[in-house]
Amino acid sequence: MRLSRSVLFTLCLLAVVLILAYLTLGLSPTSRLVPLLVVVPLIGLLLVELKRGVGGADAEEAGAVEAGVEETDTGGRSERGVLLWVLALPALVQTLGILAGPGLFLLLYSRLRSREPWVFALTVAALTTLGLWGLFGLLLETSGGVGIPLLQGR
Amino acid sequence: MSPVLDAAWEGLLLVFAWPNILYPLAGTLAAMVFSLLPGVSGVTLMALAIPLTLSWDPIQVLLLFGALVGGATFMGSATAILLNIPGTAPNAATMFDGYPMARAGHAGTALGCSAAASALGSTFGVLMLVALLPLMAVLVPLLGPPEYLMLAVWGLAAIATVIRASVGKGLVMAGLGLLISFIGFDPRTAELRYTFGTLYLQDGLHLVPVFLGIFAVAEVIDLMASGRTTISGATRLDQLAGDALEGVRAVFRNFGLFLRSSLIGTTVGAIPGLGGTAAAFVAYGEAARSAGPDGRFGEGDIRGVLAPEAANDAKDGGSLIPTLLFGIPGSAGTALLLGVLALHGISPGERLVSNLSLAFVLIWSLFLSNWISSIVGLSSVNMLSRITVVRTSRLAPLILILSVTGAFAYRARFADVWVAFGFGLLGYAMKRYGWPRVAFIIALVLGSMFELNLHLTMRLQELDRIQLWTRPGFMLLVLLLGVTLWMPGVRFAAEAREMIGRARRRVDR
Repeated sequence: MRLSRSVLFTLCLLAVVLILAYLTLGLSPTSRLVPLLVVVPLIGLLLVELKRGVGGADAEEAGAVEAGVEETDTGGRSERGVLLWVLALPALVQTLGILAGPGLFLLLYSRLRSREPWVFALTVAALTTLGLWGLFGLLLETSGGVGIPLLQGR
Repeated sequence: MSPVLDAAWEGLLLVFAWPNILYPLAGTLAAMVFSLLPGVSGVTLMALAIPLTLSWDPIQVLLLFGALVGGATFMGSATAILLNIPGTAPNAATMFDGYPMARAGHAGTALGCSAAASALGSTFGVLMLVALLPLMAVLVPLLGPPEYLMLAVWGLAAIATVIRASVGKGLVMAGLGLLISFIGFDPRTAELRYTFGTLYLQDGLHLVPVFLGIFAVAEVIDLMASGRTTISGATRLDQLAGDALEGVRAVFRNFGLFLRSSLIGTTVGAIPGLGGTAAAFVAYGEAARSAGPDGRFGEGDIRGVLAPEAANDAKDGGSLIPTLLFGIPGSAGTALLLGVLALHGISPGERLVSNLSLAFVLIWSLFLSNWISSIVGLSSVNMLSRITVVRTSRLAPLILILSVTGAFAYRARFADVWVAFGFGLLGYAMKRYGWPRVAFIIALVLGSMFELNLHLTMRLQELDRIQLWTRPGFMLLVLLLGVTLWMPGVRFAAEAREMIGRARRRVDR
């Protein structure tokens, strides 16, 4: 049987909730009172949703359930490619710091994904880096004195 | 005239005296610019301004800080409407309907409604503050954990309304939001829960990175994956429908809702520790509930913009009640304000109330800044709406960088950036597979308040220190909750009876 992505997501949620339920049982009776009131019915609800999903009910609802959100069209771009680009930003910030990371991300994104001209890509990247330096390097650093790591990652 | 009105008039004259008027103007404009950056709120600006103002006259300090508290609110909602990024945590409730309106090409209408609701909401808050100042001094100390508990339950009951489309999934998301709100120290035993041995989680998950992830990052992923060319789908400004005046008119068309939301904002604001986030979410829930099946909440219903904006601005007036009367800060902003007052030798409580004209300088400055920010905001609606016609390929990376900035500026911690992006992936999956994010966020916001006050109420009851049924505030909230849950039930039952009747008539024919 091939599980749909929607069912896989429900299974992931169930796994997270089961882990939290296990951790809840290890707490003192006072600390676990309210979490237990939440986690027990939550497991039941997730099992019902899982059954509905496997039974095909999710296919009918398919993304249009959330109030205010129209069905997500992923036909435009590769979802995996998008996710890789999105995760590249925190990875760059973590590695290069809050000044260089976003600037480099913007340069790479503008050139490689949006196919913007070099002048545009360089200008936007430079202005963004300058803006971040103004915010973190001048304003917050000097006034707050919290020792913001500007040029190094973690 | 009464002493209160005399003091109000004297305070007003002080505000408009030259060069005093420059301080609220400068403070408002600075707060507006700052609040465009997510995570850098009016509170950040207040903290930055403290060293600058040490040698200033107390009146100028009150004028500046009043403006910093009030000026940030509107622009925070502008980013929420246009980019799905809340400028401050209370603006998150505005995103639920503001952003869908912007996506449908009605950004101008949403911004107009937000500006009008903000200005009028703050006016309501200030008027209530003036009217209730003597009365609230008696009433506020009467509110305790049972009343706060009922307020949280009232807010959580809103979930029942916003998840009409899929009750099961909505309840799961609410449960997950509650569980995540329990991360960190248990409020009663100080035992650590769900921290997985990490120091980072001991204080619980902070709301700003989570909001940025669930809404801003998730929306960017969706925008990039969908292949839409712009947020609104339009590529020219003249293709956008709806204007700002339509939004302003919506406030007057729904004046009853405006009054209810402002009242909620002022009341919640007056309760120390609850703050604007709870005010905005409770008001949103009440608006969704009162709209019944006609509402399109979460899909771009203008009432979903009106209610949280009115409540969020009205709460400023309410939050000054415990601050000025008892020296109890209701929020981070008022806590800083108290610190600044102390630095200038102004002690709150009886001494400040006995010098009411000084208190009114602060109140008028707050009032003025709300109006200035709304007027400036209204006049720049067209310029702001341009964001919704900027190409996705240019806008998406900038929104991602703003999200990183907001998450990092909050506490200068890389872990907050990862939390924002982690919740971004979760938010995208929720959106893609139809799990309502609104239920998750409401439960996350109100979860800790619910648990803390449940424990306190149970403990007080065990010790025989309180009798729930003899507390008028508690009983009033129970009654309100009962009515608000009962009304939709009656309506649905009536609709069901009507449908059965129609079906029977068809069968008979």
